[in-house]
Amino acid sequence: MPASEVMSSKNRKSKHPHFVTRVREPTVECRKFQEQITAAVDNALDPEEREQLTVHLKQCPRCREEFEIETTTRHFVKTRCKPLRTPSHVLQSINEHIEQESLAQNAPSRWRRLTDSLYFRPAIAFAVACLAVFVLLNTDRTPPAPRTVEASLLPANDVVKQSLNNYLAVVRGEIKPQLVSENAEQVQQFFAGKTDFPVLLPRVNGCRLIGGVLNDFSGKTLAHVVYAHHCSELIYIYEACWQTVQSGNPLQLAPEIQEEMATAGRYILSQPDGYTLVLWREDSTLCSAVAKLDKETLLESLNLTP
Amino acid sequence: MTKSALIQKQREFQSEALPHLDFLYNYALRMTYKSADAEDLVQETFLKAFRFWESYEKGTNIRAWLFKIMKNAYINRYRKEKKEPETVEYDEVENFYNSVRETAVESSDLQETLYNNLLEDDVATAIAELPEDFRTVVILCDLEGLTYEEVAEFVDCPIGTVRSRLHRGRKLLRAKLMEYARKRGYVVEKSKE
Repeated sequence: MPASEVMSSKNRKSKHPHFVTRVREPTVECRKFQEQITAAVDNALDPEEREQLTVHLKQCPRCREEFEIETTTRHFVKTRCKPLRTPSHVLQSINEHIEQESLAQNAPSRWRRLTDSLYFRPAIAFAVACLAVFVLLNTDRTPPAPRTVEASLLPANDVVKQSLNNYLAVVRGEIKPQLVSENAEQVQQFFAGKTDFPVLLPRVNGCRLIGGVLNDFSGKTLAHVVYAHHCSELIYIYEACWQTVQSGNPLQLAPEIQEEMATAGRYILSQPDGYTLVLWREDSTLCSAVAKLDKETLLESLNLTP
Repeated sequence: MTKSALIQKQREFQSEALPHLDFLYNYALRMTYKSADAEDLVQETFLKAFRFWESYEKGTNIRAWLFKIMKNAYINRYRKEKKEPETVEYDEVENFYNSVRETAVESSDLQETLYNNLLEDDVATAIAELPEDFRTVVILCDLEGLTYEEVAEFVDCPIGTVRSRLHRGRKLLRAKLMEYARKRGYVVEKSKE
């Protein structure tokens, strides 16, 4: 900048102490150095560029000022925006999610665990496929889960809880019968001698037999029988040894339910969404039937009406 | 995946990725301006990073990898909501800056006086108002202290682009800061004689 121009700019400035004069328009030369000034502030120029810029800055007050202002601004912004610590709940939540995700990847789902716990004997593939198709065709595909607080609070070895869970697993096709047969005799043969209680195959009104499953629960064999009700709903019957249930190990049944069974001969649990569970006993066999039927219909089907 | 492999993955992730939590949180905070948004963004980023941990090449710049995940998450969240101009013409920036500067101050001393009138929140707001591309490089370079080379790797751009975005971003930021200062009503006591 020529000396005369610097002078005149100073003169104008002194006349207007509160408002600074218009800044000289940047020259083509200045424009060339604009980005280099930025890089110079960050100390990111290569030696050649630095050399050229230094020469220019020596002769251009405008760009010198530009350099200073940019340096000031960079420093100011940095000091006013201090880095913050991440709130601790964020880290906690990330860790929790990771943990959950790992569990989900590693552990099978609840239903998967349930079905895995059933000790399946080699099942006939064809029969399995048939039932899967049958279940798909004949049942409500998305049965809402029974929602009783009591049931969800029950321990895992509770007969009521196991019956409800197994029923849902059967409806979803997650528990498949080891034997598929409408023939009661054949099914009876399948169970014969494998349980420490006589397996009941009640004649269920308006229903036909689909098949049965045997499994081992902590050393005790359980039997499961499935019926189709009017080709639309499934009736699932869970059967266990009454003495085992009474002993509380490995299976159990809430004392108040046992009491009611002793006095009324059976126990009925009506779940929201139309599910009904009926418990009754014949000699040493405890039966627990679950179906998406109202109480009266289920009792009638099972010939349990008084 | 076996249980031991999962535990291994979890450990690796916790020792390699999680130490960069503060870096990403601060970046997210400056980008979004809202702490709740920043928290969500950071969480989403780390969960995605965990899910795709296998795709992280060991030994490469993990911050850059995490940053890219966050950038995508940010784009998914915010570009949908508000369409902001992706690029700002250089002349626009220059003109805006000059028009503010003309009526403002011309020395760095006075610039400091002016800045002293600004509140911390003004600075955060001014940064948050920068166009996204400029904001990104300004945050990475000026606040996080990354080198141009690092920023270039983070945003997948040549160094020249980083430099020019930074230049424009800073000019725009200065103009905004001046504007805020003016709104706050600064007084220029005296000019440098």
